[in-house]
Amino acid sequence: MARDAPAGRDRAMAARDRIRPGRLLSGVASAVLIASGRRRGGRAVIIATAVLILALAAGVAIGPVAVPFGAIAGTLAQHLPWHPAVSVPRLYSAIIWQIRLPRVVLGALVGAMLAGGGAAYQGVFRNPLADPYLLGVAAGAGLGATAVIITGGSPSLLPVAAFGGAIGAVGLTYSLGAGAGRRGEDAGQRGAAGTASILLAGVAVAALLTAAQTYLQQAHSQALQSIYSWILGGLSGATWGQVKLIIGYAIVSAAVLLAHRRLLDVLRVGEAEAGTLGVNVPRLRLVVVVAATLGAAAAVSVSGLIGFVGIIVPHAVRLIAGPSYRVLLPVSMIGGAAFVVLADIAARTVQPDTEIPIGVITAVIGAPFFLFVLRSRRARADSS
Amino acid sequence: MIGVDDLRVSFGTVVALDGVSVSVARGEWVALIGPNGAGKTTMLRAIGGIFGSAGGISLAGVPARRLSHRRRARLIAYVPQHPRLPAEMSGLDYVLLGRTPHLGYFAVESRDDHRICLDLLDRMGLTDMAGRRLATMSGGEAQRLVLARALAQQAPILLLDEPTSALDLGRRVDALELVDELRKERSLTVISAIHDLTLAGQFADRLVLLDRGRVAADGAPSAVLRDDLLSGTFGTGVGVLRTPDGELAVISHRSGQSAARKR
Repeated sequence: MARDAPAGRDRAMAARDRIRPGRLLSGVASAVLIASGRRRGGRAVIIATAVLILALAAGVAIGPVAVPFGAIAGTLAQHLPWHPAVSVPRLYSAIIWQIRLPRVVLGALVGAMLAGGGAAYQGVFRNPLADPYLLGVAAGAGLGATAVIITGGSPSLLPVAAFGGAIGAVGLTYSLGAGAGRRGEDAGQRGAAGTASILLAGVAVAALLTAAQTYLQQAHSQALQSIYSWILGGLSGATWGQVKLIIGYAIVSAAVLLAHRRLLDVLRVGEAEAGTLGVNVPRLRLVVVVAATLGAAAAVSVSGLIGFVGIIVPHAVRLIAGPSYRVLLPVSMIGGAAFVVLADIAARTVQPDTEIPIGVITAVIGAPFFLFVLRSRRARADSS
Repeated sequence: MIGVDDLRVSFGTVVALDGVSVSVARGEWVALIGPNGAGKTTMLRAIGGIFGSAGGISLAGVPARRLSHRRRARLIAYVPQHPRLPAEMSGLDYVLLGRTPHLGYFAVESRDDHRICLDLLDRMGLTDMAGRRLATMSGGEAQRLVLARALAQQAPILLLDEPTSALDLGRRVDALELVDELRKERSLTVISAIHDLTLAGQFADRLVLLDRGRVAADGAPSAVLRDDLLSGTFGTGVGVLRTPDGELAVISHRSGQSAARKR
């Protein structure tokens, strides 16, 4: 837009002249920009994946009995179809296949769901403090688990009750909050009011369910120890059965969230503007919340309440790899998986005889790491 | 192209638009003028579908409420007065957001989408901004960038809410010239809310004067830019002057000096 642009036909010709070399230039620029954008996102995914693989290997190798890497490779090979003949000492293969591998795989799934869900919640509510427990997942799961423990129900019911409690709580929050948002239909504020009332409903539902859970817990003080250890969360006693229980939810949740990563970027301009760009914001919000909640509820049902992962991992990724959800969602999932696996190694090895609750480790590692990243990359902080 | 029939919008007990009817022909540029709170922005936002409203709005012959978000965004591009600019987003990524209504629900931008957006950046003189973060852009650059995003929607209707409020005098004329060029090039229908009455008269085919949620006047600039009409709505002395080359200039009188001026 030259300020001294000549009038009429001259201007039209000038415009054509401007465009022609521009075409060529923009073609080249386009290729470079597309490539560099993909390269940046791609590099973050590759680095996170490498870290995850190392974490998984370390998680299997490290423990009271040190396992050589060769035995890990051999054991994995034994479980491949048409596997080559490999011999691994029975002790090693039992430790690897029955104890450590299910534990690291479960930890990775849990971490991916919590961190991916946290990133998605932060995007859809455009709130940097959002985490996957925001709408009542933790309170609902806690109440469900407590109910099973105090009634002496079978331990196999625990994940089912926790999952049901978590889904029920979020369903309650969403129907109350979205309904209130619709009634308070003050034109213009509808989108924002909808988000705010859902968050407030989440606070209220969580408070209510936590009160109920606390009451039950106090009324059955003999069960206090087992309730408390469930709530603190942990991966001890992980089995392939638990992995099978949640892997379906994990895959569906991750696929749906990843499919919406571009729309979450559109939402960064705000709900009203995203609407004018053709995004059905209420539907986007509902789909993303359902997917993130399914994943978080599945994670919580087998691991208890592991804190910090859903908020620290996405923010660390945002500070390192930028705030675009196209990168943020996949890298948060991979990074969250690696983070929980590493935290779990610490949880079971720092003290020789007992396990430290993994939530303590995620906070002790996560908080200083997060502060470090925050300090060193503050200039790029942008949570919009 | 756009039919607004008895449009009513209220915020709680405050009535913002009270039965407004306007129709805009294809390729026309209509400017909404009027004092603060007259309902200009509300009307644009209602047409843009940002909130629901009573009364009828039809776009290209289709009732607006029957359009999906996507179909509406293919018909209307809306440039808000205070767009939200994510600080870390690059200029190109921002303009690419405009391709959203043309992408499938799960799709990502193709090479064609990139080409369309890079051409627009080039057209706007913003090629250097493609890789820059929005946080580093000046007010004028951001303004043109938002316009580029709207044009990337390739919609036949363009709604502009105070498109020049952040610009200096020269940039204002530049920006509106650009809109006019694009309008002619792509036969766009433009509705803009605009405070500067002189600019409104210079660029728009038609002015709609809003006053407290109603249409006070609707017609060619020479019919609407009249001392008596404007003084009544704006509540101050307003003078309309005709320049030697036939353009209308609107000036306001200082309330204390009108007597001195007459002498």
